Amino acid sequence: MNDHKNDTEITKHLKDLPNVKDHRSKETVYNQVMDELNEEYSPPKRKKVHWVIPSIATAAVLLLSFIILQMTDIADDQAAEETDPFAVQSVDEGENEDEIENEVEVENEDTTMNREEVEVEEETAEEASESEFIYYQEDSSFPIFQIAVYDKQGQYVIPISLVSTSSTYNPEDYYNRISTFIDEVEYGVELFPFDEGFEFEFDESNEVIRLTVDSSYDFPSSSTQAYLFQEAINFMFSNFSANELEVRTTEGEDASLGPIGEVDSLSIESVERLAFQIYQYEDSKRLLLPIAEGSDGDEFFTIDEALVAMQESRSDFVEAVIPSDVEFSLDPSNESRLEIDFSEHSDFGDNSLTKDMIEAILMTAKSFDYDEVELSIEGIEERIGHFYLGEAIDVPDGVNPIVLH
Amino acid sequence: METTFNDIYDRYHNDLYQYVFYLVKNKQACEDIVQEVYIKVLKSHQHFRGESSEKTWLFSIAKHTTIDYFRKQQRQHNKLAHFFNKDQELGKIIDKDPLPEEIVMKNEAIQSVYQLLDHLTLDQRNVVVLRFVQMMSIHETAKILEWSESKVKTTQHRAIKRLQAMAEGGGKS
Repeated sequence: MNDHKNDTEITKHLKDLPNVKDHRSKETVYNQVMDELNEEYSPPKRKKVHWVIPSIATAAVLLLSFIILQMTDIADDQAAEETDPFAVQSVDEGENEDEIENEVEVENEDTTMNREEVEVEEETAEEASESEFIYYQEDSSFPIFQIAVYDKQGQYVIPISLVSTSSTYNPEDYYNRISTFIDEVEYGVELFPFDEGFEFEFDESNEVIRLTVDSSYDFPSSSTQAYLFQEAINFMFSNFSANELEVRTTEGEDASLGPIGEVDSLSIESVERLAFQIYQYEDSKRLLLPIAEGSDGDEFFTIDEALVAMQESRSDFVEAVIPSDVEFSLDPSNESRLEIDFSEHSDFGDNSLTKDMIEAILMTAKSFDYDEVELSIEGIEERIGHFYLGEAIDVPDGVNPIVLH
Repeated sequence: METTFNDIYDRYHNDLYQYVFYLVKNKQACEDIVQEVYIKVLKSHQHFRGESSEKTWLFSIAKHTTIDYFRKQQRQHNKLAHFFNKDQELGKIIDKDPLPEEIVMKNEAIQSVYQLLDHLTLDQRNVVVLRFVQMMSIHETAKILEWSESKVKTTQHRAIKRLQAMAEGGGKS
């Protein structure tokens, strides 16, 4: 009872916190914002050129006009007109204003166009939400930030695509807050404790990625954890143009990453040649899980090896996605399009099992660098879910999507 | 660009300023962050699709920008022991700024609650400010913080319990 009373008092006081005023005027705020924006957009070298050239020209013309002044009144008038430095500058400013106005107009047009496209974009998002495992990023669509989690047994890394519909377009906002996007219980996964002592930074072009490790951070001593950590780095950053992750401690020294040793960088390897299976821990959500090697421990060399591996369940939580007794054949003649024909099977039809299989195959094909997949299933002629059989299907842009508002 | 700025300023500036101020509790920092938010908004407004409300989008950007501010500040202070731990100690930087005049004019109980905000984690403070200062719903708060609604409720519950315990203990943690 007392607790409840105190609760209410606290919330009442919170609600009574006063409105703290910004004493700056709207104009001041706007000018400060624009000053900062203009600083970002104006290269300083160009400004120098604007100052130097008119100054030299002006000095020369002034000298000339002085001489001419001595000769005739008419010449004086003409020279004065030419040498007016403000006339030169005002032309420049006029041009700049035109440029700015044009930019604003273009931006406004873009905004209008984007708003008109909202309806279409929403349809795409709806389609994506129908699909559990894959996501297609349409032209000028939302950015995808691929993060990584682990399965409960700590054997595999599972990529997750954060699709941000209202993005700040700053990857730091996503890679430094991974734990806020993933509920470990809901997804039946474990998170590497990235949020605890790590901070990722990206330069403007996203070509340099830096990891700052807190000096007091104690990296896990297990070599499996170290392997999974490196794999997670690969999954998260191989889509960026950076080839390596620069690593430093908060003190600016090489970072000690347990079994990986003391390092100043980690290479970012491309993630390829994978077989996608379905992972589900108890009643948690299902996810597509990539496997890099067959049950014999060898990495996949060709896609048919990966597809065969997709017919075997790996554990109670990592299930096969292709029926073990189905036969299929591939046409390897086309480098960008995977053509695959399945024989008839009682499980196949317009059902979730077949849809799941297609989605897993699409991701597998993507990891083998195919752009599209053409599937045929004996006895089925039309479509499964929103996939039309017998037509090329693009490989997806993201896997295991989480669409953030 | 000016039209976009005017539009956003007229509709949200006061709320935006309040939100950021109660997170950082420093007017200069608040002004810097709000300025940074406007820059991000003006640069990316053309990408805004309207899936979330404009206010949610704006506050989401403000949240990220404020986290960046704390991160930079924390790096400068180099508080090694609590750097980014799982309880989100990020925002727990004890306020040493004088009380703003608006707070000074309030009674002792309100001044006390204002000071107790320092003892909340950044996540907790985010929820408390959005829910009780901004009077946002659980749903809106969840959207801005990109959390589930249940996480908002749990964090809110813990924050209030903590404030209550601190109030009873005279502000000692």
